[in-house]
Formats: sequence, C-alpha cells, structure tokens
Amino acid sequence: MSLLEYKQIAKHFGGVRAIEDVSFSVEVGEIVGLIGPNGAGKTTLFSMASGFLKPTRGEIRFRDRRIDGSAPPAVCRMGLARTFQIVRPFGEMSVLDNVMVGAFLHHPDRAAARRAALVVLERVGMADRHDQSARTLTLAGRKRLEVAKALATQPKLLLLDEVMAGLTPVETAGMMDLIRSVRSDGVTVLLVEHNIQATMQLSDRIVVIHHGRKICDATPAEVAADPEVIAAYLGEDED
Amino acid sequence: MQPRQILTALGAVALLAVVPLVFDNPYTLSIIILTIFYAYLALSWNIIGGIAGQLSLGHAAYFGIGAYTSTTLFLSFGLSPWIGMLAGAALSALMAVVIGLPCFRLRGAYFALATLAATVILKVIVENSHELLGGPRGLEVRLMHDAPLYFQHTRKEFYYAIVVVMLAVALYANFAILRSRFGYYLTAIRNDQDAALALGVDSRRCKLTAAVLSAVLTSIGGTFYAQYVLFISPEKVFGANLSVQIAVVCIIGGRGTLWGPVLGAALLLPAEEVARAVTGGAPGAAMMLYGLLLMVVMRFEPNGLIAILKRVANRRTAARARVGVA
Amino acid sequence: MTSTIVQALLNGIASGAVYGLIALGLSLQFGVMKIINFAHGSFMMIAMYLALWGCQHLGLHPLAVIPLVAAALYVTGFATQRWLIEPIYRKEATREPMGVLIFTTGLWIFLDNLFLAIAGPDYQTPPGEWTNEVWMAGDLFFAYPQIAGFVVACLVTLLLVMFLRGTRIGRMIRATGQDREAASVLGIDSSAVYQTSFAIGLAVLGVAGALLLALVPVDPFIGDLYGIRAFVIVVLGGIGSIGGAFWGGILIGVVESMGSQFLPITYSEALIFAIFLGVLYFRPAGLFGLEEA
Repeated sequence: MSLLEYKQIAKHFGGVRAIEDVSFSVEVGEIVGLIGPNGAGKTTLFSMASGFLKPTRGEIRFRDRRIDGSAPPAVCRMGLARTFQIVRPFGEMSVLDNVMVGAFLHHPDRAAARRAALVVLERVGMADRHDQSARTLTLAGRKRLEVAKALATQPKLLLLDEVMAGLTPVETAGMMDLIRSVRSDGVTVLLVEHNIQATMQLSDRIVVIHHGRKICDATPAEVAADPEVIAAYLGEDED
Repeated sequence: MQPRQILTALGAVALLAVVPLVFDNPYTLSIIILTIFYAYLALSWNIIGGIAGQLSLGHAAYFGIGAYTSTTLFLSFGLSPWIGMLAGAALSALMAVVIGLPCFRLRGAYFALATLAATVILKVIVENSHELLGGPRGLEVRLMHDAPLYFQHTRKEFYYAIVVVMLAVALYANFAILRSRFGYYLTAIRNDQDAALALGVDSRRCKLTAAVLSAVLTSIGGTFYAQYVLFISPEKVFGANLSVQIAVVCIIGGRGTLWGPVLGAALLLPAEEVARAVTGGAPGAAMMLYGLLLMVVMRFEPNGLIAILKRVANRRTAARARVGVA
Repeated sequence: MTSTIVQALLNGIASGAVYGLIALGLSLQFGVMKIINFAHGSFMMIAMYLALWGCQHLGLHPLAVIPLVAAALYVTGFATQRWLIEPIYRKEATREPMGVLIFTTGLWIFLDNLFLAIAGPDYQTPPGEWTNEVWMAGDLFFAYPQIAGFVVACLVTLLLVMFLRGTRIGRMIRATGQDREAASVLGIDSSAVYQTSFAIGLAVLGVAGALLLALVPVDPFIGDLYGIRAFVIVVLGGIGSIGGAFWGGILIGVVESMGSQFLPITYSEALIFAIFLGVLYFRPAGLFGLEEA
C-alpha cells in the first residue's frame, strides 16, 4: 500500500486544464521530487491532496483512504501536512507560538504543546529564536518556521512547496540537510522544487509534470537522461 | 498561582470593595458602573472581534435580545429576570450560529455587514410589534423596588457589585481562552486562516464557538442594562451606536489582549462624559470622536493603546537594566 | 392595477440604474485592490451634500453640478487612497486586511457625524422646480430626475466599460486587478494604479450621488442605507464586474420597488438588509467560488 496515491487526477479551472490525467504514488520513507516548468500544476497537486482544492476528476488516496474532497484540517489530522509556496507565518505570534499551533494537534495541553514545539524548533535549528516575532524573521528563517509548523503536527507525509526558493546556496544546503534529517526521523517527503540540482541530489525518485501531464517517473539519473524531459524542460532551463 | 499574583488579586478585590464607600456620590458611582459595564461589553466583544479577529459591527443584536427576552418574560409571565437572562443568552447563542454559519466561510467584511444587517432587521421587527414588544416607544420594567431575586434594587451598590462580578467573569473568560489551545487557534485563524487550516485547526468550529461565547456574555449585559435602567427601547438596545461603541472601546484599547478592552473603557467612557458636559450633549459628538480615534489608532498603532503602554514599560525596564549594568 | 405594477417596475429600473452606478465604484475598487471600503456610503452622502450646496449657493441646475461633484470626489479618492488607506495596507500584519476595514469603519462613523454637525439632521432637497417635473405617458408618469438618472447612469457605465477595455490606463488597471505581481513585472506601478482606481471609483460615486439628490432627500445618514445596497449589488453581481454591478443594481431596484408594493413602509428599511442576508445564505457554492474557507 502506497502512502500517497494520485489516481488519474485532473483539475480544470474553467477552460484551463491545469492538471490532466496524473497518476503517481509516494511510498513510505521516500523523498520524492516533483519538478516541471513554471505553471500552476505542481502546487495544484499539493492543494488537492491537502484539501484546499477538489479534483475535477480522479482520486487521491492517503494510507489507502480516499482524501480528495476532505477539508484541510481533517487531512492534517490524518497525518498529511503541507507548507505554502509563499510562506505564511502567523505574523503577530512568536516563533514558538507559531509552532505550538501545530503542536496543539496532538498535545491539547499548553505545557505539553510548548515542550513539543521546542523540540521541533531544536530539530530545525531555531530554538534560540523562539521568542522572536515571526514577522521579523528573514526569508530563510520563515522557510524553516514553515517546515517547523508542519512538523509539529507529527505528519506521516510532508508536502514541501518550494522551500528552497529564494535561499542562498548556504541556506539551501542547510535546508537539504534538514529535509534529509526529517526523512530519517521517519517522515516521508514529497517536495516541489525549482532548484533542479538540489532536487536531483535529494530525491530517491522524481516525477516530472509538463503541461499538466506526467511525462516521467523515475530515479534522478533516469530522469536526467530521459529525452522527453530534456526536450521539455531541462534543455530550456537556465538553472 | 504565584503569591504575588494572589496578593495583587486580593488587593484588587479590596480596592473594588472600597470604591462605592469612597465615591458615594450617585452620579460618580453611576459613571463608574457605566465604565465597568462597557469594559465588560468590550471584553465580551473581544472574544470574537479581538482574539478571533472577526469584525462584528452588530453586537447590539445580542444585547437587545438579552434585554427584550428577560424583560418580556418578566412583564408577561412574572419570570425573574435572572432566569430570563439565561433564556436570552440561549437565544443569542442561536442567533450567533445563524449569522456565523454562512458568513464564516467568506471574507471578514461579509460577516461585519451580516451582523449589521441582523441588528437592523431585529430593530425593525421590534419597532413594528407594538403589542408584544412595545414598539418604538419601548418597554418599562415594572418597578419592584428592593427585589434582588428579581434583579432589582433601589441602591446602586447592588448593581455595582453585580457588574464587578460580571467584569471578573469576562476577564477570566478572556484569560482562560488566551492561554488555551482554543485561544492559540483563534489567534492563528486571525493571522492567516489558510495556514491555520493546514495545521489541523477546525476554523469554522472555532469561530462559531467564539461567536457563541461572545454573544452569550453580551446578552447577559443586555439583561443587566434592562434591570439597571428599568427602561428599554429599540433605539437604545438595538441601535447601531451601541454596536459601534462596544467595538470601538475594544479596538482603541487593544483588541485581542486581556487588558486592552478594560483600558479602552477606562479612558473612553469618562472622556465621553466630559465631552458631553462640555458640548452640552451635542448629538453625534461622541460618535465623531470615536470614528476619529478609530482612524488614528489604525493608522498609527493598530494594536491599540495598550501596545503603547507596553512599549513605554519595556523601554523603562530596558533603561533600568542598562543603568544597572553600567 | 397592472399599471401600478408596471409603474413600480419602471421606477425600479430607473432607480436601479443609479444603484448600479453607486455599486460600480465599489466593485471597481474591490476588484482592483481587494480591499473593502466601508466608508463608501459616507462618500456618497458627501457627494450629495456637495451637489446640494452647488444648487443652493451657486444656483446651478441639479444636472450641471454633476461634473463638479465628480471632480471633487476624484481628488478626494486619490488623496484618501494615497495618504490614508495605502500606509495602513502596507503595515497589515494579518492576511486579511482588517486594519483597512476597521479604518474605513472609523471613517464612515466620523464622516456621517461630521456632516451631522455641519449640515444638521434634517432632510434637505435641492431648490428649484426641475426635480418635481414629470413626464406623462398614458397612465404612467416619470419624474425628470428618474429619466435623467437612468440615462446618465447608463452612459457613465458604458463610458467606464469603454475606458477599462479601450485605454492603456484602463488595461493597466485590469491587469493589476487580475495579478498584481505579474503586472509589476510588466512595469506597472501598482500604487499609482490603486490611487487612480480609487479616484475613478469615487468619481463615479459622485455622479451617482448627484443623480440621487434629485430623487431622494439627503440627510447625514443616507449613506448607510445606500452603502448597504451597494454591497448587496456587488455581492450579487460579482466583484470587479462592471456589468454585474449594473445589472445587479437594476435587479435590486426592481425587487425593492416591487417589494414596497406589498410590504408596509416601516419594513422597507429592513428589506434591503434581508435581501443581503438572503443572498449570503442562498447563493450556492460560495459567492465567487474563491471565497470558500
């Protein structure tokens, strides 16, 4: 049984076919990268899995339960957490309070949630900034906070939406280490990224989306050699 | 609770008990009661308007429901307003759900307008029901002189004691919410609802709960008002001015905080009295002031006056620390 | 009997066109800037008083004041957006621009009561006989202001549509409204676009207010009722849709006019609020699909 399965998913916005007949799965313990030229397709896949959008056609299954059409809080409770492409910190709250909101999912008691949140902040390397107002963080800090919030909900699967966008090479390397450590802690990762090199290095498997369709689903080496992928994407890309 | 907190609480209680003895001038006492009453109403509004960040411009709906329910039950069936108060609270809770259910799906502005709409509709209904609800001329609460079991007394101290208890309840409710998971969730919803949803927060249920709590407390305030003033009318208890006042007192003081609403009431109510004395009761003067203050606060310190106080206090502490180090 | 119904229908269409114009400005502002201005009704009230004073003190014909009022409101709109709303919008800490909402609420309260102090609480109408003149057609009669209101409202709506589609500035406004970031990549200064849109919105509102003055007496709180009408229409017709605001206005005008045939007059104020709540409840799939939580 796959952890997450997209089955013949399609999403149309009025006349626009953002996603057309996409099927792939994510197995427990994997890091899967989702790449493809710019367009709404990849984040749309995330939004459908996390309950923010309903597919026009097809099914999404998480731990063999159908989740397409479920509300976002319900999906999160089932163990699927996501980050947002444009980071969304709770600006008026401190870093610690931000993460506590996530921690409260499994720790209704405030003191327990606080402890759990601090543990998560340690993991992402932000424990020293726990008192800081989220609004004053740099982009790299906000990206880490975004990951921390999602981790605090103790997910089985983490959907990371362009967490490396806008980061310096040093910050990117740090984020890559974080993602690897998250996986070794037992969380499966599905990530959308523009940074091809990082995705290639990080992922066990890569799914390529082009014009709303899946054109490749293989190991990074195979994807790099796939003529259709090269033609559609890697050849034009300046990264 | 730490010993220092217990001492502060005891001190506050002692102070509050002494007040009516010191300020035994009935006019002064009535101003104090009014100020505490508005602090109570502002704290009630704070739960949905401040912490949850849902701008309600029609809280008079719940106030009016409370006032009219307890009064009508008293006048028609002789039911003690204490019990009528509970009935009013239940109806207000229902009203909050009825308004909230469709609105909480949408942008905040729609909720604000819906609360406004509900209040106007209720006001018009009451104004048009002459037999049952007294129409535009209002209802007089039958005088029973000294009848504490019927929520009436000739001495103002009776009402003072009750309103102080109400304030304590509202303060505790806000305090408990702010410290709890519920409070964190409401704050998260206020900051970014989608991000909150993605963390497992059931935003709809949280908002509805906050709306109901706020409505119940406000409704109780309506009953208190009816029994204190002994006369209610649609204009007074369903009026837009009341809705605005409640919201403004909370916002100017500091929405979403514990003491902001209290500070707002403590500053604005006496100020309004002074303004009324100075201008000789010019209509709309108080409202104009409130509107202006609201704009100024939003432009320069959106977190309210309490934020300014906190900044001043922090600077003093920092300065003291610096002096100590030197 | 039928002629009363027909009369009511036509009255509704005539006032509806003006309602649509009132809503037009709001729809444009909200569509472009995604902020809701609760002081919209108050600005209309100001437009009506300006028109009134133009008639009273400058001796102008109620139609002749229209360009003056529009110009005054254009300037007001520009200044309000630039110096009042925009600074607050930039400082917003939460995702939903509550600060702007609360600010415009304060502006609404302030303006209404300011004009209560300036103009007094009484209803006022413009001097002269023109507002009372009537044109008869069989059993039906139309006041000149109704005809003028309908014609001018349709004209201005048409002009606005042509402006947005045909001119460069118009296209810039539409682009910014659709995708602010993409527009700035193309070199469009969103601040300037916002200021212009807000100004245009208020100018259109100014025209509507001047037209309304010939139909309805003005008092400081007239903005409340008509402001709510504007919101209902925007909600019905679709945010940012000019055509939607126009047809929504006609619809509301007709519903109101027909409704007042059957409801006692004391309920008429509540009718529009009831329609608003009804729309919120019964319009399926959320109001614009995007608004669902």
